[in-house]
Amino acid sequence: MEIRGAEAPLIDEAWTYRFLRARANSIEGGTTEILKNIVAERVLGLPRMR
Amino acid sequence: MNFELTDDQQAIQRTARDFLASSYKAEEIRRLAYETDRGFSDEGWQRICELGWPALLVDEDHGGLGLGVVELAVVQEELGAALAPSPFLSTIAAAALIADAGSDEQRSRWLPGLAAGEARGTVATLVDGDGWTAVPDADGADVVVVREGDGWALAEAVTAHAEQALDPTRRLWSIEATGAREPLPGDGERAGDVIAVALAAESVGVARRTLDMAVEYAKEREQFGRPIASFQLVQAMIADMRVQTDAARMLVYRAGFLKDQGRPSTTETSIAKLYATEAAQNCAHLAIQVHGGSGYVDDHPVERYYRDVRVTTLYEGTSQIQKLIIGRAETGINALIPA
Repeated sequence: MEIRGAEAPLIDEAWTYRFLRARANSIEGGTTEILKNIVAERVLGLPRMR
Repeated sequence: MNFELTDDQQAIQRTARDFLASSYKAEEIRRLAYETDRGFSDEGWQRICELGWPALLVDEDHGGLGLGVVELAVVQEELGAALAPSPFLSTIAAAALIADAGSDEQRSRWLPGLAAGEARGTVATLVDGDGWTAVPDADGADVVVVREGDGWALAEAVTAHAEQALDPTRRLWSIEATGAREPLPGDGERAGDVIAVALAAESVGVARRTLDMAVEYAKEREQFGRPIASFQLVQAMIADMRVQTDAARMLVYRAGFLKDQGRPSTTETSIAKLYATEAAQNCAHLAIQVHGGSGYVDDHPVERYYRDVRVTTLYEGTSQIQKLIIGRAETGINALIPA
């Protein structure tokens, strides 16, 4: 999007869908925050937060 | 040192906040976005003109209020927070360029009408073949300030063709000039800085509102039997948003203040524009993360901010350009134009 510059807000088949779709990737199937908790507790063996 | 707005500036802020809260509720913005041709309503624009906003920067000799960039930033932050679609910034930008780069005749001809809201203007920067593209609010504009070579020209008669835009509240058009174009004789650099500060101020509004939405949602949404606001990683996101919003606002006001004092502020403008637009983008990004799946759906207001704010790091000098301006000021070496 940055490279498309001022044209970025114009809908483009190759770019726009991917830009919007990609935002869901760090949410669906376990958010980044939940995954960090899992790494902390199960991989590193750190105490549970609560 | 004084970190407060003046009483007059606070009055402008209160008026803007009240007006936008009552006139641009979520359903109305949705209607404007999806059910109108231009993405805004003439009645809404009329009311904005009655508040005198298009006259803010125009000097009193041309029927304006002769106020400064700080006042403009106050209004722009509120417009950004409300995500209220209007041709305000386009018209302000056209007037700023005409005021700074226009001849006496061009100023007398256009500024009074633009200040009064009788004429609507916009700016076309991105040249595309014989015309220009990604032009906001071009349809029905009375005057378009178009990029031509290294300078600017006025185009009165244009045909506008609607483009599909990422953000339905920020309609974009391709235009062609059908009549003669009239060059602006002067330099538009200072006007460009003013527009950049205005865009940065709008971004501060986006950052503030997406923070507010994230806080509200985090306190209300429960998971594992408690509000998600009680999770440390959620609070970390909220703290990042708060810090970035505050820092962005301070930088925007500094740039506006220096402009209003007539002091050199090109570097400070770049710093404000770079930081505020990147901060707003990050805040919109984090607000969606806090909202999780429910922020991602098309119906939720938070996703509109995410779409809306994407363009701010690109218009009026991309973030990359701003970094090269700041880098040039720090090193004395111009890397903007490759040797």
